[in-house]
Amino acid sequence: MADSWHSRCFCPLSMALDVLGDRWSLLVVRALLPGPQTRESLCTFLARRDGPDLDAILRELIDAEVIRRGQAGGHDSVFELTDRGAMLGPVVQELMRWGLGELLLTTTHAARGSESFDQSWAVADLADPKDEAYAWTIDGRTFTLEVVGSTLIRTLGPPPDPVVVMETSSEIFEALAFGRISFPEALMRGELRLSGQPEATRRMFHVCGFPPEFLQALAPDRISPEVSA
Amino acid sequence: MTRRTYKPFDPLAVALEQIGDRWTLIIVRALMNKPQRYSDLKAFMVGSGSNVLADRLRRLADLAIVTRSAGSRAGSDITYQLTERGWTLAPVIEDLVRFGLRSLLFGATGHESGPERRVFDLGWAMTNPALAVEETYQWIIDGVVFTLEVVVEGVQIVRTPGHAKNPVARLETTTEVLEELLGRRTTLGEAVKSNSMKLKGRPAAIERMFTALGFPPDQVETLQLADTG
Repeated sequence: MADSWHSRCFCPLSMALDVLGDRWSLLVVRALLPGPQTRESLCTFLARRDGPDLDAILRELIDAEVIRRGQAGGHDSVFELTDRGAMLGPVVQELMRWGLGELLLTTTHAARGSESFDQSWAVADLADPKDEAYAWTIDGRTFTLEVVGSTLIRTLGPPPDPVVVMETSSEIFEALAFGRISFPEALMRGELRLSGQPEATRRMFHVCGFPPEFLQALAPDRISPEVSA
Repeated sequence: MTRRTYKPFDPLAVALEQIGDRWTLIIVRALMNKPQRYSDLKAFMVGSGSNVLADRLRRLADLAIVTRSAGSRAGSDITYQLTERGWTLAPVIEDLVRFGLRSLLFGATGHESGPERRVFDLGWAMTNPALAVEETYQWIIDGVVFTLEVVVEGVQIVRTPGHAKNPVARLETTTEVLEELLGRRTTLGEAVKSNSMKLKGRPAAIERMFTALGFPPDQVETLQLADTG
């Protein structure tokens, strides 16, 4: 009921933050931006992230009229964004742009030491995980992404023995991450350079959490001409 | 830092982890208006715990989003301001404000059913509650009429649907214009001059209305209230 999002102040930002509650809400909103999802698929998406009680979050978002139950294909537990919820698209995009800069060290205030990321949610369904290292050069700055089990360790500087080397700009990376250009397109235009085995390249994007649609575009027959060791 | 945070290599999760906290965003928003002293910022933290402000300011300084500077005179107060990097958060805040504004004015359901009755705190906007005057204002936004009533006891403002009985000030405009005002792409003075906002009432009442609703003083000054009569 209204109690779950009582704004105390007549202030739009306060109001928005009341409606959104905790940070998990926006992760749910992002999952629903491409279209309706079943409870199960949302569950996979969030449970992989060590998530809190999904039903509680869904209930709050329904009360706040950000999402609603849909009736796609006789499924009784399909969730979709309301018009109000769809208004959060730009918020999610702007936050992702900020976060991307952080991940790629392009807007980061200082070169930090090693930072570890928990990728168990992304590695879970990877058939052949391997401990290996990738070199990424974004806007001329090179850093290492090293896989150790389900942990991804980012360190400034190139690795001694990368299985994949990728070089691009933050603009192109952002366009790829937001689906504004396709992977083969970026390769063809020379806006992204990759070298490494196709299988290693797939593993790299998989571990880094790129969605299945993106990984499909990486099918070896589609990228092999451009990718060479 | 001792707290172990769960951090995936995912731009949205990273952004939410760094800046997704309610009080962090409220501080950034306050600093978008102008540099603020610690005591000024406290007024924006209605409902937060006692050490939250100090904690968030420390975190924002670590992230190079906020810097502190001592005044030129010895013993003058330290002020906090956004860094260049901090200003890159402006689009995130603006999108949240845009989302919150419609909820604030119309409630969850939007224009169709009109706003329901809601009570809001005024303490954060009224730095001197003694100046609060019990009176009502009438707003028409996108054609939807509602009443805003200041209740001195408890320093609150009550929003009810429908026309006000004896409003001391009337305002008519659109959500687009309010968004431009909140995003500082226009001023109250310009909005009135271009006729995209209509105001009626005594200058002092109009000034009290905007102040009570949290409009910053420099915005209110652009009205040159003598001619709105």
